[in-house]
Amino acid sequence: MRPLTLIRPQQLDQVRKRVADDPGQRVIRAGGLDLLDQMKEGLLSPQELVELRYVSDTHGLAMRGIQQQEDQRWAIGALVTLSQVANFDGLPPAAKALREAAGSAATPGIRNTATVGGNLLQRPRCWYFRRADLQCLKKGGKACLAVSGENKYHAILGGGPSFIVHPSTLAVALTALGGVARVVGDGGTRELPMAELFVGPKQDPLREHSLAAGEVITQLLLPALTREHHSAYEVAKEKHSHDWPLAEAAVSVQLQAGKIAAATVVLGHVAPVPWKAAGAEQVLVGQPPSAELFAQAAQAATTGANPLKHNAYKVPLSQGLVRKALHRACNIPLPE
Amino acid sequence: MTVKPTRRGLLKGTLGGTLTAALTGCRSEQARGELSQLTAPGEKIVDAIPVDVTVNRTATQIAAGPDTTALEAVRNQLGLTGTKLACGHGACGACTIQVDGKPVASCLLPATSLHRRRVTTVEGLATDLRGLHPVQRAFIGEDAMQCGYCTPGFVVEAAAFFDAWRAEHGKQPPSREVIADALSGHLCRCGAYTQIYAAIARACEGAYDNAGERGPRYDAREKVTGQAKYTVDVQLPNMVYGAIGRAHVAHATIRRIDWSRALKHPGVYAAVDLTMGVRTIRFAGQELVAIAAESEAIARHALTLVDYDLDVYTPIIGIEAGRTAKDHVYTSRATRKQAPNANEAPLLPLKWRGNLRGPFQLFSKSRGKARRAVTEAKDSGDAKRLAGGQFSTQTQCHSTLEPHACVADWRDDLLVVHLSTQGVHQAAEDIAKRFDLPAERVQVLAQHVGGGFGGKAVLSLELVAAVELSRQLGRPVRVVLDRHEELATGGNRPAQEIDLALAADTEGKFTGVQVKSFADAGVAVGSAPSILFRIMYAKTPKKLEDWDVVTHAAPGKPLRAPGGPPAFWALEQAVDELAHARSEDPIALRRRNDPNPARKELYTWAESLPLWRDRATSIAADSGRYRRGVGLAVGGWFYFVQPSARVQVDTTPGGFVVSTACQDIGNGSKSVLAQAVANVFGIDPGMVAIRVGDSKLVPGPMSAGSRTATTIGPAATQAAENLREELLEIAEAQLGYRGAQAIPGGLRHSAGETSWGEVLARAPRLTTIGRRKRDRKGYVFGIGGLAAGRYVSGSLQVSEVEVDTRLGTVRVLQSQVGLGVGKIFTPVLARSQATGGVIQGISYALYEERRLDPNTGAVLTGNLEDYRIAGLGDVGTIDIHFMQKGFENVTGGGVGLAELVKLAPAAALGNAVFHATGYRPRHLPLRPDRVLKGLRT
Repeated sequence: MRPLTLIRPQQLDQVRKRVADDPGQRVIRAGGLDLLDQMKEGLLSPQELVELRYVSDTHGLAMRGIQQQEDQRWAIGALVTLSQVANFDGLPPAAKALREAAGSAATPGIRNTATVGGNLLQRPRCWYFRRADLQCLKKGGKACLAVSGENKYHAILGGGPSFIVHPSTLAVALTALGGVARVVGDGGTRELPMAELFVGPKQDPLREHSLAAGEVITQLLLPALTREHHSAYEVAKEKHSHDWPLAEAAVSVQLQAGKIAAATVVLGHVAPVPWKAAGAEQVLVGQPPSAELFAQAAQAATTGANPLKHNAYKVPLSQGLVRKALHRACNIPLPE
Repeated sequence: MTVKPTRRGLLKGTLGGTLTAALTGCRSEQARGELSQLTAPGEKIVDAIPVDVTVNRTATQIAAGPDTTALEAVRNQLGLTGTKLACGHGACGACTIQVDGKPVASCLLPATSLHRRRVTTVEGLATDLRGLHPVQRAFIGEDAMQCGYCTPGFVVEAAAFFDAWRAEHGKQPPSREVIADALSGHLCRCGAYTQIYAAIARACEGAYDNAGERGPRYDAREKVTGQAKYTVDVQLPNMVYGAIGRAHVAHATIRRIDWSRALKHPGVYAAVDLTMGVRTIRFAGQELVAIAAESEAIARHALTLVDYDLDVYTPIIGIEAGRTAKDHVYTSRATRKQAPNANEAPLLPLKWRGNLRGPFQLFSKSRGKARRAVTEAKDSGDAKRLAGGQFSTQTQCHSTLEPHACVADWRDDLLVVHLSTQGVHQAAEDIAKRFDLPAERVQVLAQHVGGGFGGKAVLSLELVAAVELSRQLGRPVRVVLDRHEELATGGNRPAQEIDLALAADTEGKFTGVQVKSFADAGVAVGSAPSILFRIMYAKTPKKLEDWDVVTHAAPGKPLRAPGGPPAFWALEQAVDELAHARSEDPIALRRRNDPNPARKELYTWAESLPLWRDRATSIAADSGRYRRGVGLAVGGWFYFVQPSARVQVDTTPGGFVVSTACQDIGNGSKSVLAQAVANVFGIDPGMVAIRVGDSKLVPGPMSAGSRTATTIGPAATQAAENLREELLEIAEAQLGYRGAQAIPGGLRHSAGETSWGEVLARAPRLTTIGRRKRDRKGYVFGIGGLAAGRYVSGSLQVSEVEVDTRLGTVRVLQSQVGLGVGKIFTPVLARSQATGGVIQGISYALYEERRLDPNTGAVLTGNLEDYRIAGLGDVGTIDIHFMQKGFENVTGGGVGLAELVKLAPAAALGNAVFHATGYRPRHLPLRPDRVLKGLRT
């Protein structure tokens, strides 16, 4: 067996350089859950793990806290656990979708150790990808095995050539809320909107994000949210107890003078990236909220859906979730 | 001719199936060079880092490698084996520990992250000051466990929840939803959820703050404290680790297997060939080689160094492919004989046509009459006279939370095998035959068994691998399947397609049932649900045909009520359909056609249930998004006893010792034995010590075929009664108690009363052996030490569901279950087994489904996220009603219920979905995609 080494730098730059020098063999570890999972599954066999949680410089502090910045934006550290986010009642009510999402992912036992950054950057749960002995597109093979195989849990939107769905629940809520990743790299610190952080398979079928080797997400920033902002997160699972989502919806709306001034509708577990449902947003903006409007928006949310053989059910499922999320965000009872 | 070693040929079925065949030995090879001495049990630490951690209030240090999990550190380095590995991917909660008071899944937690943390495992929940944690007492008191394998995880999480809840809410009881959310990361395969809810709610209320530490289950304390040792917990000095190399493809021929690279790897000791000369790979996961090494990690790594030279072919996956494929899974008469038996009954010779084997028609009754009745009903064009259609059910995996596990220790004079098994006695006999040893040179041990459900009833290859490797090396060898192996090859209930027609006359009297069923048991054959159609509505003529369709998938095995859930899914929905077509009460229709006396009583009971009586009179009465409906289905099952079983009772100066070579797989054998003896003497079961799980004891029954309680209960009673008579004689003749008569708890004699404790303290040691007396009217048949009783038990289930018509999810709100099984031996445990079976039935109906890639045959559902098992929040409330009469001719007055309870759930839910929505589901499981599609058409 190959030796495996653990490195625990105290400076973020040491972490970054260590990994950037040999990105094929060195991997950054935050909570380490998905990493261990992948190593157990034989998907990854790095020579060196570089721990993030021993970083004790200013970045280390930033990665561990949840605080409001001077510019009114909220900054959530990448090493903060999901349960800390779910239970943190200092966040404004408008960020409800994020707390709901954090409290819905995985199990209580996982949420107590899984980090925000790790949730965003975990690898897909696709049952072809997760089997080391199946040579799928995401592992450098020729084709996405789901296309002619069992694709009930796969993408209905934005698929091809790979049809994985993005596994991060937090990403759906963060995208809806206009969240931004603060990324530290060679050129210093930059801010990356969610839409640029996540990349689809057309761009690169081997990975799901755009970070360069040695770049680290240190914080997630939420824009200044006012009382005009409202949000909600909804999920459909087969089971009531722990289960991975079949589909998710997070919505954020800004209400001004009885009308929807701005709206973001994002679908999860239906596309290789958190899917911004632009069609739904167009329906909503400029209109007063109502059940009829929400029904129309829900219909429009899946515009462009192109289901595979076994996953057309995700279309009505996603529509139902968008509708429910809009009603809840705007506090209008569902007429059903 | 070579014989494939697994599951048939080699091994006895639970119903005395095919006999053990002698096999040639396995090719094997040892690594050259000296065996190294182990420094510590468990994983070898590469590049370890010292981690300071306080575990159960004691400061300690562990050595953590970069990929060492907290679970490995706790179990292997600290020897705290109460924390269990089950899924390995954070989905089941068996590995839960508390870190700084918060529950976490330790199987995905790097051990390095425990540095300077405070860890509490199940062993540390109790303190000297307070004794057991109130949650542990509550789990004991409410009997919130069966096999106990998941129990430490539940208890550790529930204790953290309790502590937090009490701090915030005092003694206010938490709601079911709150408990379900807090425990949403835990799975109990036995389905003890009803009792787990009760335990947590009652503990929070304060009911167990000062309660005792004893309850109705004999070994509950061991289970809630992590002291119960399972096969996976066995650590022997000098032990090495084996792992099995498996086929990654589903169809191939083997040119050559070369393990030379693997044997050269440091820490690898030996390899054995598990193909037994069979050169064809017929399913993904098929066992090819086994390797023993210094650690499990090295053994598994070495497997990747084995070179397989294969010719790979396209596999045949699924029933439809099996029927239409031009290629055949078995290409000759000789290879067909390699097909394992998926069932318990002996295989009868049947015709093969390509991949089809059948028809098996033995259980038909007035075949011509049945066929004519169906034709006539069809021709009449009267919808009120014909129901049915095509039904299908999926492949279900046993997936016990303790995987198949074996530690074999081949010594000069004795082969000791620690085995997770449903039959220590049977296993010892089979091992002796397999390895050509005299019976007295084999000992099988199983102190605790983490679930079975039929999957551990016959020997399988983890045992062959461990024994062969141990024979090679002269050291103990441990082989434990991981979750993927368990789900791929640990056993499954075959998928079925059932074409069923139920004909009736205009008066609603059944005139004929015609069934053609196709089973996909992968490479196995013999799935024959037709006997179940035969015993239901027993007077109706029936034309019954079973067909096997062989495919390139792992062999099916008997799974608790083999054939039952698919058969009743079809039959009981057809009956419901006919009732609705006739606008008749479903109970009235059944009562007219059902001669079974046990169910007659249950119909009357069901009519009195408000849930049934007050249900909506029309179909799809709700019009909103959420629609509720109520469905009813019934079941019937045979009962078996094992007359060859014996129970021994010994006296000691301190009490009674009951022993038999049976095992407790969570079914409560130990508690049944203790209760039976305690009842005879009128004493507290605490005075009775139980010894099981050792093949050297007097022969005990297998835990299979619902036979345990009805076999060992009466046998223990007989032994105890004989012993009581002997003690009375001794009391009179030797101890000087004049006119001694037995009274509850002791003796009455001329000088007063004396407790059994005092009598035992003075009496010489006595031994008696009891057996189960024959039923008053005998048995239907008896083979191989097993007898089939004359009576058919009955069940009835009424369930209420709520269908979310937007998301397609089906939620079970409540179930009322009536059981006609006669006398109940240990009511609390019987209730637990009944609710557990219903829960497994709900899990099967709603979620469970093994899926294979249609192109490669690879198992896609090889973990407990993709293979979905119902959790705490998925099952609704369940009430059990026992109808304790009607089996007076059965010795002991009662029959088994383990399998009976698994029959009605799926059909009851199907009928409830129809009642709620007007959509008649025909395919299992009731997945959201299917429900949505069904609602739209």
